[in-house]
Amino acid sequence: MFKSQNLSFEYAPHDSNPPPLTLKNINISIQTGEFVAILGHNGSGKSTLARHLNALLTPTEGTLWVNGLDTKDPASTWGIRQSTGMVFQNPDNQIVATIVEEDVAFGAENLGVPPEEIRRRVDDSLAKVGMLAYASHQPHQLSGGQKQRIAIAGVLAMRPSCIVFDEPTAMLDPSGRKEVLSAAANLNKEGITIILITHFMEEAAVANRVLVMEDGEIILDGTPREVFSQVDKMQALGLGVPQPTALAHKLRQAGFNISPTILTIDEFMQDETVKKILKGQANANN
Amino acid sequence: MTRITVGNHYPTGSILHRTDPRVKLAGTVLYVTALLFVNNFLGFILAAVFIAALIKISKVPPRLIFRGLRMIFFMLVFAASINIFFTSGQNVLLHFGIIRITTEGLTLAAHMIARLVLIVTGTSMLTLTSTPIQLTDGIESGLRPLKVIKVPVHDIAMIMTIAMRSIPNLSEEMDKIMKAQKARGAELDTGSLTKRALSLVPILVPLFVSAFKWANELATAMEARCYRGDINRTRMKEMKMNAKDWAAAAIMLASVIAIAGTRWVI
Amino acid sequence: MQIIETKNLTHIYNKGSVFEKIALDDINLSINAGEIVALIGHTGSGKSTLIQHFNGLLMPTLGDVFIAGDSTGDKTKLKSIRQKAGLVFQYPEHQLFEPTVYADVAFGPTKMGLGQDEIDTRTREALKLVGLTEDCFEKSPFELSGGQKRRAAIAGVLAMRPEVLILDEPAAGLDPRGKDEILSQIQKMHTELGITVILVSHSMDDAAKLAQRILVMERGRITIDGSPTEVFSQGEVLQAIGLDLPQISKLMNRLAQENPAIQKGVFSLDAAAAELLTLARKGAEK
Repeated sequence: MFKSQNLSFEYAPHDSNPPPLTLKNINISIQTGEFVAILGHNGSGKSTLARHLNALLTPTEGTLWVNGLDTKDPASTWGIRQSTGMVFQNPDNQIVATIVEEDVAFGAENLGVPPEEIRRRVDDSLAKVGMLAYASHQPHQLSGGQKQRIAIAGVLAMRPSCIVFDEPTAMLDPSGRKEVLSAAANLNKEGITIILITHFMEEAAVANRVLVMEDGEIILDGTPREVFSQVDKMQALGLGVPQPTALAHKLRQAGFNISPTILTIDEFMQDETVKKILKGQANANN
Repeated sequence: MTRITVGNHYPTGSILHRTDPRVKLAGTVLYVTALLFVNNFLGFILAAVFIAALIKISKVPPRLIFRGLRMIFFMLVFAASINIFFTSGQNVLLHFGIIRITTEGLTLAAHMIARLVLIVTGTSMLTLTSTPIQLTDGIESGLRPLKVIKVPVHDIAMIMTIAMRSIPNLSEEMDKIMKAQKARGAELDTGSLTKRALSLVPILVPLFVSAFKWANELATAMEARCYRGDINRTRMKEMKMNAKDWAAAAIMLASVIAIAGTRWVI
Repeated sequence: MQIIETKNLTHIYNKGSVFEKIALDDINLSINAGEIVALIGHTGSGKSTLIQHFNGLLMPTLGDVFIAGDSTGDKTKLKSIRQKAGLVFQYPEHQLFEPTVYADVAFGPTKMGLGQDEIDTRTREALKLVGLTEDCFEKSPFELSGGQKRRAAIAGVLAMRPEVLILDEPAAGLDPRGKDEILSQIQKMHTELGITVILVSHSMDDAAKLAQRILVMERGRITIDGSPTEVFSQGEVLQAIGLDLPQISKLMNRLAQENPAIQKGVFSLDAAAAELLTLARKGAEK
């Protein structure tokens, strides 16, 4: 789906406000159907990388291919943006129309899809995110989570093979976060590649691959288990790990033989050593 | 938590709501023009009957329509008084200093009130039965012939759409900023005129910053969804005049001609 | 001493219209000087409406609100009430408007009509409290990073030397590092200045980190009022109203179901580890 070779990016000097974010020598390959979470601090280059994935930005050096198309080739731009949709952080700043279904139709309209087909896609996409009942509502009267689902539907109506989520839950409350995350997970099950940029470790734990960025470079790349089992490194980066992982780590430091790959509460409960502790049968160093 | 509705569309799903917005737009323009021709009560009565029929068909609660009238109440009183008090005429009913009330004056005032009331109810019928988007689409499509002379019709319509979209955002943002500055001790409604004007700075600067940020992010989001002007662009809701629309257009045209025609009948 | 007291506080939006909505329903609450309280509830529960009553931005439809003994209904006291109860809105960085950080922070004290020296003292003090150094003072607020901007905005309220600091979602939208910084600075202000802090959040984890007392709001009422451990041990109640527990409490409550010797409601990582280690030690002694 995506492949980059020595991708580097530098904001033009006149754009030095906010301070220049750069990408340094990124070599990455992402397969169709993956669910990739990207973690990192503000300024680590996550959003810049995300914007490369649908040719909103193009590399200063190196190359990025999306489905084999070079993002630097202007002739490919629209094809790339069709195949890779984006959902941004602020729900209010990405909805164009004053009626939900009109907004969902916007992308497909830009692609020149015939009207009956757009109608079908709009209904279909709204149904997929559970918002069909709101088709004729005004977006500003919806909750944050609902607005984000509208934005997802708008991308879906373009029939993309990948959706890039740029901190889609940062401005939402817990129920809104759940709505958006489960929508993303469902789409992944249908074969759509998901790239999720987030600050929430629990969200990243759901992905099947985690990339950690720092100073414009990818410094960790692996399954959530591989990445989060490096508790000390993640904490040193100031990113942290899911809480169950952190607790397991603490117990392991105290000498208990608890699995280093625990990510969720359920996994914690299932751990043999934890079971022993609960039954009062555990000793340190066993 | 905003309750702002953009435009004052009131959805009922009536046949009038489903009529092609271009028919409604053109109908409204012609209707207003016709009212300017009317110079006797027969015409106003006809127009009133026409509007009453539309209200009935639209299923919009009449009180919503009269709410619009409340806003122009003072304008009505003002226009009527000028006509009553300052029209010269033969048939003087009352003479009081420079004020002369004449039959002609009363008639003119009544005409004025009838005309304004009918224009306002008529145009609010347009906005109550059409969404802002339908109206912009109607304008875009109705003005399409102007493209030939290089009028950027699509861009104008897109600007209107986005402007409408920005209204609830900006008003919500302004409300927030005002509260935040008040909490920091800003006094917005006291002091001399200059003081009040200056007190707007803490509101307007952040509002502009936020509006530009909004515009910038929206533009990026639009680009990400392949927006590139009207190149190769289709519409989900294509405007096609069907038989019902043509029938509606014919009925409107006939009514409008009848209303205007009263001028020459009597 | 009570710094905030509400008596039968009721607030109804759009009273008498079809949109009538009871936002606050007969709230009787008192907060003592020096407390650090978290106000939790999901969007629309009435949190924001409540805190806007604390500095007279909203007036009760029924009932009274007293700040340090003065009713917010007393127009002559409004100015002093707004100074005493400093309110920091969500995304406060959006309210920055002066050409320099220093001038923006000085806005509040200037409006209070203080002398030039006093304004300068308070401005510097406030900037120092939020950890912004001298070299930022003459910068434009828009040159700062996201976290710095937010701290500058908080300084703008602190410079008025409020007796109670009310913060609406102070950590929203920040990256993990920015979040930690803001929260630990709030903690510091509380301990160093002895200032009363009210923290509004939908994040239980943030509330757990700081608060000594948690108020849970639901449909305009305060439904739970207690210490974090008390509140978090009521997992079912919280989940029924759509609120999540801190991850650790969730885990500990699950463990407590297996072994009742485990304390429910524990919410910090260290306390949870200590709890489990104690249990294991007891088991080993047997």
